[in-house]
Amino acid sequence: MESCGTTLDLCAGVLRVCHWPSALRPPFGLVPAGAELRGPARLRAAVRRTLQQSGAAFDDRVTPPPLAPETVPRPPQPAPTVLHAWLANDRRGIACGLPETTRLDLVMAAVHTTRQQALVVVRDSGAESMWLRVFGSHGVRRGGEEVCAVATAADAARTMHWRARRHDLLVVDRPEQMPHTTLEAVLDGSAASSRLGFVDRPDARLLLRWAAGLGPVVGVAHAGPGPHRLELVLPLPAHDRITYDAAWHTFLGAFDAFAATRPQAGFGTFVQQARRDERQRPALLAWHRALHVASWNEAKAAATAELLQRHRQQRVLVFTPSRESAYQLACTHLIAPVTAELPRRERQQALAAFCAGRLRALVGPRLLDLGVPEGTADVGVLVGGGYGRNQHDARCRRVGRSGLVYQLVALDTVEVGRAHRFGRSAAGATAVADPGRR
Amino acid sequence: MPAWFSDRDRPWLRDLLHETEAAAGRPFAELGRRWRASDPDPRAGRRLAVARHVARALLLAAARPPRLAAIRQQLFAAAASGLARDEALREVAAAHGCTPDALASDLFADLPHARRIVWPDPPPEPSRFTLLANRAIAQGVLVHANDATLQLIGASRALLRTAWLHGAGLSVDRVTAEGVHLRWSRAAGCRRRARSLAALVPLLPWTRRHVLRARCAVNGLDGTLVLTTGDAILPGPEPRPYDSELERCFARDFAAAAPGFELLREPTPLATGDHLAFPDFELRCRSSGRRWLLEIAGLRDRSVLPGKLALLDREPDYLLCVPRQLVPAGLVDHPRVVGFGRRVTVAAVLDRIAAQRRIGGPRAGRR
Repeated sequence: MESCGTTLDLCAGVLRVCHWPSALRPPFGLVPAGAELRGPARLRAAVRRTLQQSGAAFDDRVTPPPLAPETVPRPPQPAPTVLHAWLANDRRGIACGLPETTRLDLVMAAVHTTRQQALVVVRDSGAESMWLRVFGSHGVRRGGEEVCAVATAADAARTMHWRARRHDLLVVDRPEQMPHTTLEAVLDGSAASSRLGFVDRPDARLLLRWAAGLGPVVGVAHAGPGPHRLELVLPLPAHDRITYDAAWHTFLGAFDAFAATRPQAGFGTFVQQARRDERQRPALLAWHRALHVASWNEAKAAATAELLQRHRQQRVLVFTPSRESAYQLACTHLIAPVTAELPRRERQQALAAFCAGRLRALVGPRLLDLGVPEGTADVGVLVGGGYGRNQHDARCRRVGRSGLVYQLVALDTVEVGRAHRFGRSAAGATAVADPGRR
Repeated sequence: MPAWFSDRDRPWLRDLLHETEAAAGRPFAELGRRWRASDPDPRAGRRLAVARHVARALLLAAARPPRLAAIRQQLFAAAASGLARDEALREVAAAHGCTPDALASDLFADLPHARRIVWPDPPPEPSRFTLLANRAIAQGVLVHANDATLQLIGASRALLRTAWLHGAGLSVDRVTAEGVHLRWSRAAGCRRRARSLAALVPLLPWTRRHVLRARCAVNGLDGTLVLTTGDAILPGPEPRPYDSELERCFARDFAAAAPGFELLREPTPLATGDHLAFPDFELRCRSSGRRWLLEIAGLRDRSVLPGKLALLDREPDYLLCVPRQLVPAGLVDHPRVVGFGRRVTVAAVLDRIAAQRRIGGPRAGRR
């Protein structure tokens, strides 16, 4: 054991620094607690840097042992160009817009360079399956030692107190799609000194927020044109139109009153307030009801059936707004669903079967977004719902560049505006259809 | 102070269980709707919600879903191979001895949203139910804890191990002859830690003695929840006797090969700063009374090795068993490090103990 002044250790996710040199100013965020300094595990790299720059001796007890030489994976040839920028920036940084294959190469190259176990944090178990499948094909679990571990953001946040000292390389894939508090828990709780983030699309506001946890932008790649997008605008069935209009009326009655009293507040503030206010709660429920009716109805079911029939020889992904609609489509057309409710193994087998070509179609609400590698499908059907632009992009990326993405939009509903906002630009073509009536 | 469940609640609890039993075979969602629509029982008061929550959890644990994953896979594969829907249904239904309609309607019957109530066998007793409900109340209150102290005397390994796995954030206050004193405080804005503390409640009764004092704030009301040994709380499942197959085999082999030694499974933990170290076994020589602590470290997480080596330096009676290929180069000939392959050989451990005896002489009752 090295006998030296300053020691760094981790206890229950908290970085503890003992015998800090009195002449040295501790990094911002470390607070005195008795005879030692404490702070989030994230500060380990800053503490090490400060001590190294001052020439002070220290014992870092958090450093995990390096990988055995025989377990280090072969680096990809040629190494991604972003790697050099990342290394030059003290092994911290965010790469924007990289394709998934390049991301994998970059992680492999980073593991090879740092000789440290990597922890890849992803959004959900769909993405986790995808990364594990790709890692498995590269043989990164060697000699019983896991070279790259993959965890969902929620799982990583929950277990970071013991994961923190196992990995010195933290990779966060698509932080923009993770809940903010969960992401913060991961970034603050990890003691990894090397950090790498993958973002689909640069957003200055978010990148600034993640700079402390992941580092600055070290590379931006242009994603290139996506698949051809076709917007199918479908009229609501008569009874659904009545339900939708009534629900929308209830919602607007309360929301207009709210907007009149607080013109600067956004929709999020309204939701927060309405959850706690019994008088406004019906409006919130009505808003959900309206969205539910618009996102899944008989017209969309008929249109989806026609599309599945038309593309029955191609590989199709159907992104549904809810679990119930996924099961309905699965039962009607006998296509495998991918939902969080299904046993994990069954989900993984379905995704693997689709990638291998044994299944021609998959249907699911959210886990499909990142569950298969980019460009795997020939056709994508966005039935409805959606949680914003990032999710829309992620769904479209599952379809190859020569493929086709159908977006089903309910006519004269909130979905029309959403489709244009999420899609950022007009679709390749828009058609008003009336499926089921020929 | 929570109103604990007791024998006086048996009448209405029995009625609730009868009502629940009558719903057997129906979906859980239907029972939930029926409960929401029914008038509140005046005998139960606000505790009815707790009892229903517990009853639902009990039923969910008892409902073993049918295995439909393989059938689904066959069906989707058949459809993907080009068979029409009816044809695929007919083929797979025939293979599993059911009708196509039944197969189509029950295709997702094993999933939580469609799961049906199965009445547990043996049926739950109201007295056991009260203990379960008390446990749920204690856990529900602890979720609102702000800080807590916990005193444990004996058999605390399972609880502390669970606390560590959950990241409960318990820190050692002091270790005395009376046991371990731990303290806990909620991190700002962190509800997860409080949930981890609540998850320890089922394990408390497995300790020899315990006292948990938690300062809680529930709906603006402050109070201290005190749980002690003998409280009417149902213990959770019995903790596993061994952490690994390696330990189980060693204990069996050692008991057979070394009758002159007594093997104690759970020795007193060792305090190492703010942490506790739990050696796996205490080996006590029956003739001399001298004791050794033995730890079998599989080192799946290699980052724990430095801590174990520090303990090796500090504790003269501590034996460390490490996989042979992971023994650090400088410690291959260490007199208290035992390398092992697939199993820890008892002979190697006894050799080390004999060598220690020759070096150190008898130190009976040192610890």
